[in-house]
Amino acid sequence: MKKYAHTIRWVSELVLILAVLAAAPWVHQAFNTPTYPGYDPEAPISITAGTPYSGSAVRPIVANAMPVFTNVCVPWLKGYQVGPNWSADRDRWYDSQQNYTDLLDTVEYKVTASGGGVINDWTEDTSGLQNQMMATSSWSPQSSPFLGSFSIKCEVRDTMHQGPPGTTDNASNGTASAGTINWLAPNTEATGGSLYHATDTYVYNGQTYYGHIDQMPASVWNTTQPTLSFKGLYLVEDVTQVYSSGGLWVAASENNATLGDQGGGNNTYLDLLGMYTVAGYQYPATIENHYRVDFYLKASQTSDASIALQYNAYLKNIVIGGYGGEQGRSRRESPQGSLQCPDWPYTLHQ
Amino acid sequence: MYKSLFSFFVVFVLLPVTQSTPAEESIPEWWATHIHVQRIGLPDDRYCPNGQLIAMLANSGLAINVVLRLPIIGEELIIQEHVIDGVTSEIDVIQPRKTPWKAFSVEPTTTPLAGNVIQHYCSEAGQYGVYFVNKMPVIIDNADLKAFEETQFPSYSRTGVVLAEVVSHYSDQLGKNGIVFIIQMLGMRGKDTISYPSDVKVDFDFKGGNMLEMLCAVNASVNAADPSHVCYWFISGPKAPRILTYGAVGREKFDRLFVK
Repeated sequence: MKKYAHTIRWVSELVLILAVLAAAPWVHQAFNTPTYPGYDPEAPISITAGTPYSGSAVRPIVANAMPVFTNVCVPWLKGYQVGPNWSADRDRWYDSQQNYTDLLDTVEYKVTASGGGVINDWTEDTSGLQNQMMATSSWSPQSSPFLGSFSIKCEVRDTMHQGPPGTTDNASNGTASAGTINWLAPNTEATGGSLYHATDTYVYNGQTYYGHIDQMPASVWNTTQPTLSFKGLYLVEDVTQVYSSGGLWVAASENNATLGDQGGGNNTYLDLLGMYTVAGYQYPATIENHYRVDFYLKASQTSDASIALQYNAYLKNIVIGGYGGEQGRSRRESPQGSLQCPDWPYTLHQ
Repeated sequence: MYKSLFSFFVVFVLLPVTQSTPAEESIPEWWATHIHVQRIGLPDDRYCPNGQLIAMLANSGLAINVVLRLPIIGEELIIQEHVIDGVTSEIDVIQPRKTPWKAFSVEPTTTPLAGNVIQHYCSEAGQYGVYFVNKMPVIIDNADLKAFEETQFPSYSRTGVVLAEVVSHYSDQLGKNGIVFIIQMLGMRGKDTISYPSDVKVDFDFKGGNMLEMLCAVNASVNAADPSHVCYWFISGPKAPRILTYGAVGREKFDRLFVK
């Protein structure tokens, strides 16, 4: 027994210490109950994380040679509401009848990302009482390409004292976390196995132009979570002509589409990638034109915090469009190799 | 230090004198901004035709406006037999350069001014000069410049119209000067979709002026309607009439060319 005496004593002291610590809030409260009238600044600071969403950032992430622009945005919401006003810190003033009035106090906040990177150093809340949202933190992952999960933490502390004259403020702090956000990106692409070659007439300003259209269905989706939506992601098509045998050049064109819009709001984005090469021009000429289409996925706001981003799909296409008064031709190169227009080399533009 | 002084001298002193540039206030700010020269997509082929060098300079995101001069038939443009997928056909081919174009020389740790880089490649491409119209650079050779400046276009104002309506207003006059406007459909989504910037509603207000001023006024109206893109135009073709197209570079792509 004797040999355990030291241990028993050590455990007893520990239990005593823990009991004192556990009673500390009660003791604190008991000795800090305001006199009436009096000021009570002791309510804890309250801040919660709103729904995170993806947003655009300027730093490119290169995945499969496709730059992606993404970051995460987390809104921080104040926890106390008094009438129409919001604050992350609430104090109370008791009158002589023990009726209280809530006073909304000011705070400052600091936001860090997982790994310790400071997103916002201590910053005064200047959002205004009418706003429930204190601030929005914007953060871009520093790894490239970014896949996986992360968390963001917001610390809040009391700042300029707003209580009645002669009273002192507390220095209570609070912390909120955005939790974990899983980022999801399209990871699969598919393009049509053959080209659609069409003649087309295009009437403009009284003149008829014969067109030569190459189209191919292309889609991107995520194979592991097909029910998730890519709503809010933007697809940017950047079309650039890179060669013209006859020196017929056209200016580059950039077009945007929202992922989900084309695919009915689900996981799949489906598009018809096409080139319209003007033919039937006033002079007989056959020119070979090459175009390159670069696809970019770009983050934007999404209503679903558990989803977004980024990357993977795509692709560098080269479409060779035939051009001429009598016939057109078409090939697609990369990534599957050369594909020949099915109606080549027959006369197209009658 | 000396390189910076030299760059300043070239952009603000030498350029205005040698290129008949209008007043300095007509030069866009980005012209004298440092640029990531490696982000400019130029042809791999150093013997490529001069027009290709200019075109890829424009289409790499710089959004410079271009008038490619007509090639001399039989000399610069010839018909060649060409084999694609085993099928031989006759195809118009601009002849390659006789000497390779030289890349802009830049120290690895430095970034040149955008204007110097563009000026260099315009010089490499032959007879092309750089001119400025309302803060928009125009790449054009001297013969075309004279004709374009002498051709006056009347005033025209419309609100809430698409680019095609604006340009079609001037189509007859453009046609008389050997220019045909084409609405391009690059990267279209579905057969009937006309791609940007053809579907952007603009407020066009042109007080009258020469052809370059009219063409650039369209740019200005599109840019005002859509700040997310930078609009520019391109005139080219193997034979008259040449084709005019309007295009747009994404603002992000444009901005990424320059050193922050």
